[in-house]
Amino acid sequence: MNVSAVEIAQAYIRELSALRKWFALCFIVIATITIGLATTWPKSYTSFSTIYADNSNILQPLMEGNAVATGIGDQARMAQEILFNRIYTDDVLKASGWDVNGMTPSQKDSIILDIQSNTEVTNVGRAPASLIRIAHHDPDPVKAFTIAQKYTTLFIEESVVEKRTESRGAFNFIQQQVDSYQTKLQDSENRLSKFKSENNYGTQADANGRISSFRAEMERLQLDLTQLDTEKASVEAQLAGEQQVVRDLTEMNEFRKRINALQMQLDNLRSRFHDNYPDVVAVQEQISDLMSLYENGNAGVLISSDDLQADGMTPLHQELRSRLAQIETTKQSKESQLNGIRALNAAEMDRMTLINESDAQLAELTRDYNVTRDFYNDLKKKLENARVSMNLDEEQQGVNFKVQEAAVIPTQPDGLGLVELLLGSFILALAVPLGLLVLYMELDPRVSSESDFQADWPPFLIAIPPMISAHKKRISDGLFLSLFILISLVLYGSAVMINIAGIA
Amino acid sequence: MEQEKLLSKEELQSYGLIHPAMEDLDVVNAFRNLRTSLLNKMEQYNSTLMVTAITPDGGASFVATNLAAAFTFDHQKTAMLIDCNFQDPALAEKFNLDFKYGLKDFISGKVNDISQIVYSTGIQRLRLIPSGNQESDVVEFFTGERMFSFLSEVRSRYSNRIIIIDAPPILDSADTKILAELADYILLVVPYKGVTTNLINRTLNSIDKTKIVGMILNK
Repeated sequence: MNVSAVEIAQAYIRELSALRKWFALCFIVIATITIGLATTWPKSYTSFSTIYADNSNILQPLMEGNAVATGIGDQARMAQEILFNRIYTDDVLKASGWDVNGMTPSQKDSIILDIQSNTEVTNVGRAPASLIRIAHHDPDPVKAFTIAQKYTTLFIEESVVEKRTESRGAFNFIQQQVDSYQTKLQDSENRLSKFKSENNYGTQADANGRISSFRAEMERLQLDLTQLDTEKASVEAQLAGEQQVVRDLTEMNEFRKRINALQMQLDNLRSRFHDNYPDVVAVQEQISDLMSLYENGNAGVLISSDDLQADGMTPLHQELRSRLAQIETTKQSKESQLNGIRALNAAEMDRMTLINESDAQLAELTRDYNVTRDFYNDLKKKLENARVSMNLDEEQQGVNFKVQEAAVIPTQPDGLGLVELLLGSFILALAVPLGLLVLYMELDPRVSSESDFQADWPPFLIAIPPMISAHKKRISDGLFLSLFILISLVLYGSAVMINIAGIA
Repeated sequence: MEQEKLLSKEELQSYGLIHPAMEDLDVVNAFRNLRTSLLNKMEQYNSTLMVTAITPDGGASFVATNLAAAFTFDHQKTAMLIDCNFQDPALAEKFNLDFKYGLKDFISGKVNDISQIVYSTGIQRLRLIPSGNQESDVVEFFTGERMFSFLSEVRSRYSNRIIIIDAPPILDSADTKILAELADYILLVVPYKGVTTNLINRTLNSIDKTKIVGMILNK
């Protein structure tokens, strides 16, 4: 079931009315405690000065990019380091009214730590801040002013010295770096020149040119050799054909010579003997065998190779043999050239490897040299900048600290005023019992409204309002409210009066 | 019956009784609305309605009395209020009634005429039967035949009369469960911030829920 806001408010008012005595008691207790705290809380006064770090003098645009005035990156941190230095302990203690001569070191430490813990050095505004605020808190306004003023004076004086020291330190450091890099640069130059003199293999481009020309020449010679091989094969084929012709002619001539010789021998024998004479018969059989060989194509056995070479040379055959010999000669010449060029190419490839190795070492040495040279040149420039910066600080032309707002004796204590505190006390004294009431209402498990009735119960008919005499209730409520207001006025009025009278 | 002396507005106000001309109309209107809701739910007017709370001081007597008064706002209707809360009878005192006999006297047989225990209240058309004087075991009275015949007779006397029984808290007395059997309807009074939902569930489980005509929150 939904409950309207009015019903909720009525429930709260009813409960507040029922518990009004507890509410009032809680209010009075909290109000009394908070008023007591507000009026008796120790007061603290803060005196502060604002220092302007001016780094925009007339020299800045003139020297921009060259000289670097001592920066104001975190001036507050720098100021704190300066001011909280132990060497100023006595100065600060004296300024705050202590007799340092009669104090032990541990007493001094204790007091200065207390002073430092109540001193704040902060940058004012966004980074890069150009305003520094030095503030000191103390229950005594005069003491707060004195210490804040002392710290301001100390900072102005010491920051000038600090800047000079810092810029001189920077110059000396860069000077050392320049000397160191000068030595490194000389070493690098020597290594480079020595390497160049010891490794002169020519350039990679020349070697590549030569290798390319060698390869072209080798390819051309290989083509020539291939052509000669083809030509040689052709001539050898022709020569082989011509040899068969010569052989056939030689065989026929030999056959004819032998037949003619045997015929002449036979004729001679017949002229002297009968046909059945054994010699005649033997010669006839020889003739018959020869004829048989010839007819069977085996006349080649009648001739030797010497016969062929000696006797069988035709003009074409001789020309072919001459041509073949010429080809062989040319081929041998070309092969000889090819081998020579291959050797040269291999030598050039070896040289190429050396050139590559040499180039890599040279590149590394050159790189070292260049880096060292760049660093050296850069440091030289920085050295000059540092020199000018140092001169700026010497002449107090860099960052200047000016007191923008001098410390004064504070007239008002820190934090909230009494009125604000009393208002807070009143709100708290009201809020706490109201909060407890809300908590009580929310956590109370008892049935108090229509919404608490469950759906499975018999129907909810109505809520009967309390039957109280409105007149009596008004009187009762009015009396209670009047009393409550009276007590509140007495409590808070007393606090104000006490404060005005200066008792607290 | 002698001429009835009606209560003045101031007396009604001081007794905590509603009347149509009272200043706090919220309470009057609440009882009027309750009366209307009950009339819509009841089958006949002359029914027996038991008003009981879950815990002592739950406001059952207050609701029963003022509900009875609300019924009598209608000039055609009458109401009979019976104080059955023998443990803590409050109605006679509420009406500042000086009675001789009451319900217990009738049930115990001390008197036999019902008219001897019926009293005027000072409110027109509203009659009251106080709890009585007899000190004895009240449970025995409610379970007896005389209680049953008493209710039947009271109910049958007038057709335009509603009988409202002011019963003790359910969880506090066995009487209420016996009376619940005799009544036609039950009106359950839930005291404001007096009980938890668990306790209400326990109460509902202990009686016949079909007779419960509804629940009200007594603030």
